[in-house]
Amino acid sequence: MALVAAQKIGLEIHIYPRTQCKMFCACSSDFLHAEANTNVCPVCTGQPGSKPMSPNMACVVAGLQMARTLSMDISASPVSTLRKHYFYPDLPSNYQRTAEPLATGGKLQGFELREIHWEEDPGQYDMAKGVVDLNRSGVPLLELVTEPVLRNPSDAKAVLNDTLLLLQYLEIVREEAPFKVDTNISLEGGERVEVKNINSISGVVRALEFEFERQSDLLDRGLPVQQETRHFDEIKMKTYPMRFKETAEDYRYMRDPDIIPLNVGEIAVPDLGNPFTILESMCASGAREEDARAIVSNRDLVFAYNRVASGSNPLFASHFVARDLRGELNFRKMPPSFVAGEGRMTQIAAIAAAWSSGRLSNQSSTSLLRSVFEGRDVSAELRTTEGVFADEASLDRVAAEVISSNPDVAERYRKGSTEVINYLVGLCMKKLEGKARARDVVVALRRRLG
Amino acid sequence: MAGDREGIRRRFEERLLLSRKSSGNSFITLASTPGGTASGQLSGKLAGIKDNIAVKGMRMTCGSRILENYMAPYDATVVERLTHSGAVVLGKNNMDEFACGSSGENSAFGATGNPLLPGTVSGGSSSGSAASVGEGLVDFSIGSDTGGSIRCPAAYCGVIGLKPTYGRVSRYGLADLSMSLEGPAPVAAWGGEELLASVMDCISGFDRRDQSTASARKTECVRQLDSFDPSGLNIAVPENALLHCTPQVVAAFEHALSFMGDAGATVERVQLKSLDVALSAYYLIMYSEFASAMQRYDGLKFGTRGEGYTVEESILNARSLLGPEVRRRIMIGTYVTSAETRGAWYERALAARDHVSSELNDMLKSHDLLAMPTMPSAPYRLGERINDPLLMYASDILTVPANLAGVPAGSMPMGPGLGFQLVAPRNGDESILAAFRYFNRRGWHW
Ligand SMILES: [Zn+2]
Repeated sequence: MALVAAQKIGLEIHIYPRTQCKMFCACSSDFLHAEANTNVCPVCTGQPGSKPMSPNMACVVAGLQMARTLSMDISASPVSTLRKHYFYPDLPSNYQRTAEPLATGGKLQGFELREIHWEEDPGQYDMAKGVVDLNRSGVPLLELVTEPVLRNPSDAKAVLNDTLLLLQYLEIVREEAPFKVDTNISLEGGERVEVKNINSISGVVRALEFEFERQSDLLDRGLPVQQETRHFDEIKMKTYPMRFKETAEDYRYMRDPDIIPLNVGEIAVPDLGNPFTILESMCASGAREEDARAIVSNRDLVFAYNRVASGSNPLFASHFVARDLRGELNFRKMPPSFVAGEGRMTQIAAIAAAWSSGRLSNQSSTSLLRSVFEGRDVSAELRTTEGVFADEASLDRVAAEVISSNPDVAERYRKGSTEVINYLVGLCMKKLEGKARARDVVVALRRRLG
Repeated sequence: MAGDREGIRRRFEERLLLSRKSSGNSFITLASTPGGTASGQLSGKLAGIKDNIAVKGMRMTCGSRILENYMAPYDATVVERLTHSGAVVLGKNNMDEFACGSSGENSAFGATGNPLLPGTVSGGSSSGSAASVGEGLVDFSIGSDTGGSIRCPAAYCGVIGLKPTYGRVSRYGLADLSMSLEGPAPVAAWGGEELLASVMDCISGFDRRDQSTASARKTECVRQLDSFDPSGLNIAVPENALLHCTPQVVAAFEHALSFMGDAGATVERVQLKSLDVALSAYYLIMYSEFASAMQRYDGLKFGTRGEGYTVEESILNARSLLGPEVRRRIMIGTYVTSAETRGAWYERALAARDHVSSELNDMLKSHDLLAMPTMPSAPYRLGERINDPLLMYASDILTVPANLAGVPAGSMPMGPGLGFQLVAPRNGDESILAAFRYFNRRGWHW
């Protein structure tokens, strides 16, 4: 198959910001757990005579925070909420409220962004049962739109990963349903195809890969690729033409006469720093990207990283926070905010500093860290444990004991399976109750093994 | 207090009986009980509510077959405030279907009769609101005014009606016709200025459920009711407005005007140049907003269900339940807001509106009040104009400017079926009622 030239890919990312209320009424925005049609009122069910409240400020502020981090230009003129008219069973008024861009321009992963605006989600229509659940009707959405300048599915993945990272860092996303994505892809010589309503990053990648193959196959055979809208089947991992064709319909966009335009430039937005700058400097100073991303996804972990790094070095600190600290948190199902609490950070930083400088063994460090998580004050214990290691004579004695009681393991080492030494180190550590550095134990064992 | 409650109940029952017997057809639905009678400023006052305003648990038809079975699940803000002040809802008033009409003949539940001049139209679209007040069935009624919908029937039925400043009375619970132009509007009998003032003070002010009230002050109509003094006032009269009126209307208007002139007011004849475009701007904006508002009545969601399998079929069948005037307005509104024609019509209408609004507001900066007839002619015979929509639309020419500018305007009787209209600057609702009170107190009659 001749590889078809350039792809042009664009993304429309519909983000569910974390809010208490819906976009234009005071109903709870919980649509995942509540019983069907319980979080509703005259406004979000479109009752005749109901009027929308002003746009949900938590959603607007979240959009402004994103816009600022992404260096977008925030609208200087008041932003109007618009009505987009179309008939659908899940849309109570048969118009959806969306808005003019609150910001335009900017970049993500080096790709140009087009705009970001707020809108409301329609309800959920169960076509098989013919039932509509309006709990989701009016739930706030922020739509971030890229220019069609992405070149391949991995670009899309990178943009979506960074979007998620940004949302997590700013603490403005619902973890259980961060976003849904519409993507468009066109190949040279073909028309633009849109794939709607994909719920995961991997789904977007798979849909784009599928479309790339489908469209290049058509073009290779000299067949046209027509402009159309398709949907993605997450189970079959394929895209299909929409059952109800969305014709090039006229939405008759119109300013909502019931909603006063918002002067977004005058809204105060907290400055929480820029996760991408932090990520970059962490990686530049030697942290592994995987660890750095895990840390930047949470501002309490970033705080912990900065404290630990100031008493050690970036590589150690990123590893310590991303693995040891996060491991303990995940194991206990604790939120990262725990580490930032009441003097805990001071103890954790002290353990990390002693560990990274070799004044504390791996085993002692881990056990002290656990004690902190169990709620104990370890400052005294840290002072007595720190720098207290077995002397060379005891190391040699323990090494001799372990070798003589494991002759078969020693034999395998001598025959060349050098990795078994780790097993012997473990046994020595146990006998020494952790009061030794692993590298000193290795030296003692090697001397005995010859 | 128990005696009071008993008195209220008896009066309610008595008026209910009269309303049932009346041939005026000014109600679509009558209440079954007086409800919880709170005591307050409006204690025991019987109210009619236009059938496009939600009263919890009562059906709200908007004068249409398509909502024949729609039960309002909530109270409009005005209804909530009135009942908290002790008012008692007697029933839901008849109206032109979805407020489309100026004659009271466009209701799916039959035309509303004119109690003052039987055989003529009652005016619309708040036909039943004015007629039930005129017939003495209720003490006051709440209608709505989009382009004259309260002032027109008030004029034809010989009562007083006030279209408040836009944004001073919450629209929450008022079914949409044209959201940027309309609002609830009270009506009471001639002599009922004090009651109307109490009603305004009760229903006005900020409501978090309607953003247009964001900066609204509560009215002080009762406090300012006797403060009107014509001497030294400067009243503008747009002469070109009178060119649209019949000689009978002009004569009655000049007579009423001289009553104020004699009392010391300065009357200045002016030209309201933008009057020529006001009507077209009004109808284009109203059609556009109306088409958007009517989008929800697809036969699947509210009230009567259209037969049919697909969404499209249901919509078509449901739409056939709407009257011809409503369908005409939806079609034109859809057309003028479509992508291809937006620039030609809707955008130009919005520009024309700004033009009318600034001319009128400027005029009200240099003058205390503006006076015009309410309607250009006396009420015509039932059926006379129903098939001539353009003639019908033309009769709104003197009422729509106040809606386009968002300023308050009121109508009081100046002759049989003729209304004298006063327009005040924004938030000048108080001075209109005070002026009407002045006429009444000084023995004005036609
Ligand atoms: Zn709601």
